[in-house]
Amino acid sequence: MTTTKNADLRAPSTDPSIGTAQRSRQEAAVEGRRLIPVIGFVVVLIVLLAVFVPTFYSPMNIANVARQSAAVGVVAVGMTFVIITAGIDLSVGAILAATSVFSGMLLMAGIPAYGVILISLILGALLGSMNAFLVANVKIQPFVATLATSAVIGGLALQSTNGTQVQLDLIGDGMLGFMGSGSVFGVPGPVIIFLATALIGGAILRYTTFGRYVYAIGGSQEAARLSGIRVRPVLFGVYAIAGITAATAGLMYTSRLNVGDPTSGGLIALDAIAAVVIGGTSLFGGSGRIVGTVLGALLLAVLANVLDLLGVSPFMQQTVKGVVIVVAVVVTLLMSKKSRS
Amino acid sequence: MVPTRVPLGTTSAEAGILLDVAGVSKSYSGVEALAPVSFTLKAGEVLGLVGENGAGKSTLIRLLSGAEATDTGEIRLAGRPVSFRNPSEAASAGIVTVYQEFSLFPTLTVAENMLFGQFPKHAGVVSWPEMYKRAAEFLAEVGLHLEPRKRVDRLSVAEKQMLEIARALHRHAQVLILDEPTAVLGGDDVDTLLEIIRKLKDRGIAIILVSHRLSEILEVSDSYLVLKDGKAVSRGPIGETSYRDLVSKMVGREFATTSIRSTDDECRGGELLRVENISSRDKLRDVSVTVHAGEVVGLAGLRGAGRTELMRAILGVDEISEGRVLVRGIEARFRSASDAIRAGLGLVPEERATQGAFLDMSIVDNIPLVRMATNRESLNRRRRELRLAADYRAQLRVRTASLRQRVRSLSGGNQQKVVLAKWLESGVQTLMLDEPTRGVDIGAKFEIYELIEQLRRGGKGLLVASSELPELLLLCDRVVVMHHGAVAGELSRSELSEESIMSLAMGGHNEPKATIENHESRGTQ
Repeated sequence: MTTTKNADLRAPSTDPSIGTAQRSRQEAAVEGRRLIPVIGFVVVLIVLLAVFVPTFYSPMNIANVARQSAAVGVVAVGMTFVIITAGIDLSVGAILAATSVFSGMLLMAGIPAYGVILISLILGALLGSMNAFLVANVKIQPFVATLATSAVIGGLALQSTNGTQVQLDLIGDGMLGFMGSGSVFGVPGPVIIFLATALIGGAILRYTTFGRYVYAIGGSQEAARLSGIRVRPVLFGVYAIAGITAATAGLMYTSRLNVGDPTSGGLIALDAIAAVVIGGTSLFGGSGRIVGTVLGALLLAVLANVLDLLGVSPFMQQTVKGVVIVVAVVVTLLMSKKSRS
Repeated sequence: MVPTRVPLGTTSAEAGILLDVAGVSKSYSGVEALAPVSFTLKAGEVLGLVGENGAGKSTLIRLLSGAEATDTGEIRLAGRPVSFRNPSEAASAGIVTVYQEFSLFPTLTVAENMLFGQFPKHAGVVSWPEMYKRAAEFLAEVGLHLEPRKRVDRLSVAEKQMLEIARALHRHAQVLILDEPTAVLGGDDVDTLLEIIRKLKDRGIAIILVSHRLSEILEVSDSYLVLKDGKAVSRGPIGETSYRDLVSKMVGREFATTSIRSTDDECRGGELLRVENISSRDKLRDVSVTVHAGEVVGLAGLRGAGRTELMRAILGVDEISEGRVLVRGIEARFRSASDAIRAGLGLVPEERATQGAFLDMSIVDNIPLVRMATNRESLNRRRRELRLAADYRAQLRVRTASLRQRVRSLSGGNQQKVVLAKWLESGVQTLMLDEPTRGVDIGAKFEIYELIEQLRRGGKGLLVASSELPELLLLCDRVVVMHHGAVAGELSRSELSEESIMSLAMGGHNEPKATIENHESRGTQ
């Protein structure tokens, strides 16, 4: 970072309006540094794929990869908000499952699809607010609070169907059908939902004051409070967003498989956290970007797909995924240390 | 290490001299923090070490305790030259320091803390009965009343301090350095501690007692050493000094200040903030303060006197149990800092890194935060914020290459300017500043003073807490002095001097100002 240092000496005598172009390039470089590892990984993977696994590049397969990344990606967008506040949400899998079951029941009861979507998203927001209540009002650590709510919500979802799936008739072509299996110009519906979620999430973080408060709270809750930021409402918003994204993923699941499944949440919380972390967001809070999370989710999906194509056993796939997470995080850490010195 | 001096040391040991400090000094990057200091300490002698903040007391302690290496000079313990690479070497040689922040393991018991590293064992397994027995026996022997099985986090502050001392004795401390031990204690506990010091003295332990409370020094010490601006200015038996004598030796500095204020430039306007008789459950007692527009009110007091707590209580962060706060004459009931800030109050906290600035956010992201929160804005207009931040960078002379740089990468002074910009941008009416120049280099310090003065002339009300007296003399129209959570007195600009502030801050020595003869250190007349 010698260039910045030189600029440092020059700065006081420089008119701020001069050399803005050069400066903003420099600024962009500093800002984007944490994204370099994940971008690097994706590029390397794509090149390796072209050489060794050309079948990857069939349109069918690429659409498949994108679809696989979608559910995790949507959840990871919400998770990014939570992690930037230095929190974590382990209950997203349970919320996903609960929404899947609940939306299935609503459909069976004859509620129209748009109503089902709306009610499901509200349910997600409410369940997220429950997390926020425990974290912000009762002051339980996010890890413990969401671990507990995960068990509560997951248990209720299982109990409500007695552990079985809610079988649905064909969902059809409407909005709900689109979420699971529709497509526009060959782009799968879930992928569009994922990208839309990411765009909205990114815009909230970047262009709203709420987004600024999310970063501020992650940097230091005390400093945020002493700056007049009302911490509690912001935390409610953040966990509600995580709940809404989890509910969205739940609807996607129901729509694609035509079932309301109380076991559908699985380990999606861990995959989402992995995507966020690979994308350069620090678990200590205060920094992170949605772009990184999107790339992180894509990386995980590409990796899973490639290992499939190569015929690697699912057991070994887990191991490889773990190694990739460690390498990605270590490289991010090294890069951000370098940018600081 | 002059070898010829070793025999001399031996003779001094025979004369009962335990610690011989000869010409010890320390500089940090070319700045002399401590000029060569020499003194001796006999076994069983209590030395009162006094001086203002920044006088070099902490540096001297760090050198003696092995926390830092000496630049010059020699330390001899019982006649033998010693040098320490770290505090544990000093401790095993017999010099142990008890700091204000304790180094105990909070979740372990008293006995474990005392015997740490020397647990009694049977067949490789810790023998708990033996451990508690040994601890109890030792505590009884040295006359300290502590329950060996009690967990440290259940102990009172006074008991923790006792445990620190017990642990030091258990490690065969010969010289005990107590750094501001009474600053954290309440009334009765202070007496207990002084009693313990007398007992230790009878056991032949030499004690260096650092305290801002001169009355304690006078009560328990055998001799005194005054440091001022990194130099030892006076040393002698305690019988030959007095309270007033010590104060004047401590502050008797001539300091020429480029006057920040144009003289008698009064622009005091209406009352902005009135605090009436507020108390909090544990810290504040019946405190009243008023701040007018165009006025800088100082808040003085020793560490722990309640300055920070007062500011937090005014801002609605900490609960007020009695009394009331009025903003522009209207009673305010703040349920949170957010309420107070919307009413025009602001606080620049002492803990800049964790409470003031958002270190991992950029400068341009830091500056608009308070304004956004108080105006309940919803959109982040990035172009506008960038322009505003550029203005503040120019106005406050924030030295940075890029406004997108993280605040963490800035110097302390520039970080503080960003925090100030945050408040200026919010349109604050009454700004409270807690130790505004702590950790700020000297150049930026004066820029911050000038900024405070600018704000005053602009009709803001300012409440400045500082333990640097020259800072208060330079800036303030009035100074409210706190002692033990209560207001010890209020000094108008004509009454302001380091002595007048100090004697109120020390408490109990409320001498009429006219009798203080030493006026030479008056800041601005």
